[in-house]
Amino acid sequence: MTEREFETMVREHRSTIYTVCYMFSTDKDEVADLFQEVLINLWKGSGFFRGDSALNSWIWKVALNTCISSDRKKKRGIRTEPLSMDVDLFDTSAEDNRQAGLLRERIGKLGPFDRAIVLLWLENLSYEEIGQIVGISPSNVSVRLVRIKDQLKKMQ
Amino acid sequence: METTDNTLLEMQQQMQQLRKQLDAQKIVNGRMLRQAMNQTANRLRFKYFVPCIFAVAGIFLSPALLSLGFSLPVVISYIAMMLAGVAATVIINVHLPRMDKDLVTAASEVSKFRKLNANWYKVGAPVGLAWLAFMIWDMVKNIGVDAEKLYGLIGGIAVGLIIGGLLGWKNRRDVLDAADDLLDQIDELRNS
Repeated sequence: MTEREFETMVREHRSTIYTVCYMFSTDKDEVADLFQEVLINLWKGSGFFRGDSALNSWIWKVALNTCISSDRKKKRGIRTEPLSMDVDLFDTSAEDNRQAGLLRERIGKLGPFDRAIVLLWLENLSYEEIGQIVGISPSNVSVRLVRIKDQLKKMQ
Repeated sequence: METTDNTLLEMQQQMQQLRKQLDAQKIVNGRMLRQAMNQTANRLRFKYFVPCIFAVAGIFLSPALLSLGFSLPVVISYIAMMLAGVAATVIINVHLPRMDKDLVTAASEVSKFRKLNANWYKVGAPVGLAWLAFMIWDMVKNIGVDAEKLYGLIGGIAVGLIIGGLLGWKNRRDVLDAADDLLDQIDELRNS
């Protein structure tokens, strides 16, 4: 993948990457940090991507893995030329942001893998696709989603 | 059930809204994108390769140890330790977990990688302490350091070891707890 192709891919899938980072972060700076880390991992992995899975699935895997495995304690290093967000989802004065915040609050109470499963489900991916990304069987995805729904019910 | 269905419906609507907002998110121009990535990548490489550069520089400066009066075995064992450290750093970095595998596999590899890194002291600490003891013995035997300076040196090394050891131990504990937590979640996910 050339740099231009990579850039095009990032632009086309930026909302997917930002969605994942937003659901695993607590503030704007952390979202920006995670976003950059995801880009680094996508770039590192672009040499291994052979098109044997859908591009979208590959991006979901890298973004989710980066956020789940991210070591937050070491993140407060020097960061120059950050990729900042034009859309500040942490500014709760706007109604749209409050709705996004509600979603993040609900999902944020789940463990990282359950968070990943519910995000993929909200993106209308099939149980098979979710299973391939997470690494469990489609029937396990179905059982897991029932438990997640129970958990969400108890959060009311 | 109805409450859960309403909640899920709301979440789906909120997700669609979130996506619309994020679609409006601009990414700065391509040049800044590449610059930001290169700077972050360089920062990550710096973390691993600076110790290697210091180790290689130390190897080139090892003749100075001979001119200070240390014996050849001390210098050779020092060079061997430095080379082993560089080799371990390079090998570990070649096998960094890949983020494009499925979540369970990637998280499992990351946890095991972190545990391996956190447990390097089981080899490194005894080797390092043994070499320090060897160096001090060599100083007394071959260079003839007087008792006052020797106690001062041992005292300084001991303080450094205690402080470094406590900080390193705490960091190791945090890393291992986080790695075990992730592995527990993977087990729970697989067994559900």
